[in-house]
Amino acid sequence: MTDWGAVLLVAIKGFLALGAIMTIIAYMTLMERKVLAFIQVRKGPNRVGPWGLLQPLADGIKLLFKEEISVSGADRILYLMAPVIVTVCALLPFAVVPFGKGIVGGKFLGVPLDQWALGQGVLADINTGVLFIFAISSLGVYGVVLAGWASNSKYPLLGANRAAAQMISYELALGLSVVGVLLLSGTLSLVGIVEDQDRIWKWNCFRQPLGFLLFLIAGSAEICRTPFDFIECENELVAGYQTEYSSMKFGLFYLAEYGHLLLLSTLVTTFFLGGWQGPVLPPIVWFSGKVFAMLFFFMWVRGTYPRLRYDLLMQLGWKVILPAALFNIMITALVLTLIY
Amino acid sequence: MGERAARRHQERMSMIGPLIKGLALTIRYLFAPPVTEEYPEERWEPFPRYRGRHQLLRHEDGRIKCVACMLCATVCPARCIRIEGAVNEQGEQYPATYEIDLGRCIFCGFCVEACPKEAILMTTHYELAALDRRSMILDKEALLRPPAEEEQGERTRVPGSLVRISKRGPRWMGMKREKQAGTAA
Repeated sequence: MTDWGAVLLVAIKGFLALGAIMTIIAYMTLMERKVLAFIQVRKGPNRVGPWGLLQPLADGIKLLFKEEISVSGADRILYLMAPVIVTVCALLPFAVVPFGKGIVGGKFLGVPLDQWALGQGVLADINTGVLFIFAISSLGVYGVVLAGWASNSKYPLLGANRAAAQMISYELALGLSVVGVLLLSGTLSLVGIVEDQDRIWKWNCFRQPLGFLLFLIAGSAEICRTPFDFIECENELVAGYQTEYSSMKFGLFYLAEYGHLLLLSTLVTTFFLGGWQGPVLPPIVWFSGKVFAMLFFFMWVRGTYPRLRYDLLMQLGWKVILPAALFNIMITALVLTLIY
Repeated sequence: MGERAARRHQERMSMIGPLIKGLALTIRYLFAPPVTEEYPEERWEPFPRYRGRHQLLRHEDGRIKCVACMLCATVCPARCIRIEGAVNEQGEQYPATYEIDLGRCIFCGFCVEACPKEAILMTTHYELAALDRRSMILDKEALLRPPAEEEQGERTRVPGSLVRISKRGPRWMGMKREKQAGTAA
């Protein structure tokens, strides 16, 4: 028999998490603008609310009320589906990212908390969490390709082409750079990976420095951030696959972009920085602090480096990152076999 | 590894240092104070020799210094000065009309240099935006009025906002600002 109380609790937990993620994504846009402004010795948005704090709200309202414009020759269904696919694929992986320790066992409102990860600081403790994340984020490429194709316009097509090539190339390197971590912790569950890093010197950024570096590079290429932001390389491609989208459809792409950034930061935290593990402070503080630091790092990088050339990007992916990731796996496996 | 490949490899490896240097540079600028001046609230006070809106001068007894010799109108490369001369009861020439079209003026200051009577000068008043071209043409009365402090930005001021006149001057010029009183004396 289905326990409806548990279903309700799961739904509430999911909604709370989704709300938190959406709010954080909205405020990441403000944070990015502020960080970039400070790096460029400017002040950044400060007109809407104190310190510009209501700016994301104003932006959201503006996006909602913008006029819907679409191309006449667009493939209507695919055109509308693309932003949805991209957004869903950007938000879904958060379900398996552990954000806190949580209480295991016990009862809440008469519902036992040992089922469906209810008592844990994660929405779904899947024992193949890493696989799940890579599967879902790979599906996101479909959204990009469909957006480019269905727009019936040349810049989106070129942008989607590039985006697909880039994402597929770096997916491989991204996956391989995590394998070292998986070898060390011996599990595909993100909860397990975090529990494995229970001392600071056991954080994977110290045990897997090369893997950490490769994951950072391949990760920022995978989510198409500067210096790898070829999909919307404005001086060549206008805005890449998003060119023909307006209003909230564009807003969804924008949301997905920052969703990807947040996801990457949480993944770096989970895989390499010990997730919610840390002394003294409560787990959720450690987790959000690390994620915040990673977000800042990616914005800092964006404020520093110019965009790479496209062929160099491909060269970097296939000739440097990929072999280095394989090398990292081999060394890790060797050391593990020799020691244990 | 061939010689060329080795050199290329070395070049790539030598990029790692500069990449870190770049990050260090941007983090330094992150903590630098912003150079932004929030314009309607903060104002830049121009240098004393800044060439802004013109002003016609009077003698101490109130007569206009200008004798309508047309030198300024002649030298003006933008042809923005229009003068109609007249003769008063004492037999002195004076400008009956004196108009400068600020929409055409290029603020070169030739009129000031050409003037034999030092009757025209350029003030540091720089808030010259107008809503139509007609009101950019300043007549004699407007030119005779010295730009008052409160006139600065009367069109652009946000109602009720505090006006702070910035004393810093533009930082991008990299110059030490001279005291206005010191140079005027």
